[in-house]
Amino acid sequence: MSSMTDAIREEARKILSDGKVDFVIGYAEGDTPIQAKPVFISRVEDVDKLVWPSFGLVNLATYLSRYRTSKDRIGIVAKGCDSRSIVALLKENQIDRDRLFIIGVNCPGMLSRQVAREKAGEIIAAENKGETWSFTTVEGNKEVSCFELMPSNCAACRHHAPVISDVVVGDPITEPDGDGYDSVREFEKKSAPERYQYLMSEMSACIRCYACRQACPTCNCDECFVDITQPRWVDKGLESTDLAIWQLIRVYHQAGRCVDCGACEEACPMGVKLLWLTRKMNFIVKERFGFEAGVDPEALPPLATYEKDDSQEFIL
Amino acid sequence: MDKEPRILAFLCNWCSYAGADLAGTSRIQYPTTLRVLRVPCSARVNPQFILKALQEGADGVLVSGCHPGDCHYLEGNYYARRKFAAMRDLLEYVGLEKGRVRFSWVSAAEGGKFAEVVKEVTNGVKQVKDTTQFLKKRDWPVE
Repeated sequence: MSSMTDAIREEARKILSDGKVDFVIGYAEGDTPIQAKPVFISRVEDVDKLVWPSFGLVNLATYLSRYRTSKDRIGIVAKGCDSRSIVALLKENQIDRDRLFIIGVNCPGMLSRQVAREKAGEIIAAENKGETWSFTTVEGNKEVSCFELMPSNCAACRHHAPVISDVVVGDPITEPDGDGYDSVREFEKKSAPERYQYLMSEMSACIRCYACRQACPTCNCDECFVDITQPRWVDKGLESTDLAIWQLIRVYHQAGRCVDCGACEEACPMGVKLLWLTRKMNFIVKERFGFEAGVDPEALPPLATYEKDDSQEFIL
Repeated sequence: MDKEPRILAFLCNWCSYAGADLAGTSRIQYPTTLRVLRVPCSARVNPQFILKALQEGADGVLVSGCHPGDCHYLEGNYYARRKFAAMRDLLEYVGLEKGRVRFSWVSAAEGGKFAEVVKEVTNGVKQVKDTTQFLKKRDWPVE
């Protein structure tokens, strides 16, 4: 990991001292254990704050749309999924390519804080011991293997390498077999009432903090449908159908844009499972329209185009 | 379900609404379960409308537009078809009972087909066991 950190720092130092960019968005060591926080580095002497984290599920492309109208030239550290998000943003004219310098990283997969908390409880201190992590909690010490800490999206990832980049760091990674949608197929085997029950029980924990939306690079509307009061699409409050519909529509709005980076689920303070929904949306888009978000910079977004012979077996 | 279902129908102004009109002027009999909402084009129907309708107490939702190639706005229904395909699959995935959300193409000349569609959709909704899925729970009575 440290060699990756060094490589990222070196690239960042180079572009900052050459004046190619005004600042670099990357990861820094977090304030609490097993947390990586996003950091904006604008001075060469601060470059050593940058790290390549083990628990970096934050999608750094999220910050790009905030610079939609600025003139800043931005350097950004991009994992495979981040780079796909950047492509999705470029497609929607959220950012100019010539203002970006992308430090692509061949990402071997991140570890999830959310999963660590599920396995070990509230973590006070953490130490990496190669293949395992040792967590100190209130109840005592606990060892968890890296494999167990991998979030479902990284386990299902088929795009470890950045799609677009100006430089790439890290060794290339061989993509695993399969399409990564086995969990969706597994869930589909349940009966319809069971699936509805699962949706309702997962969403019942939601407190409408909208952390999932804030963490999502493609949730960048100036006014979200859920905040609109005229007309009020989704009522405020914690009524169960409101919660379910809020998340369903949010996921629907990600059709052909979601890159399965897992930032929404990782950001959720209530541990609501969201990836089973977002991944299904990606699966629908792939199966029906043959589209994968952020993979082909030239392809039109699936809902902004059509084929005359799109399947319509469901239409009377 | 035992009671007469209430189905919200989004009919496009140029084809399906005129088709419904033709069914009426031709004196074709069909179930009186539909509450028609006229929209400029099937592409006007935001998938949010469908969920909102279910939440507000519709037993079923029908969205109907022009046949592909016949759209008054040339390509509106092609876009609509993609939107509905994605939404339909997502709703099926989260366990919405089959038959509650339906789509159809009915042209202005198809009064007979319109009546058939209404019969089919009504029968479908009648088979649904639980129409309280996505129904908003309120602390006060509606209506």
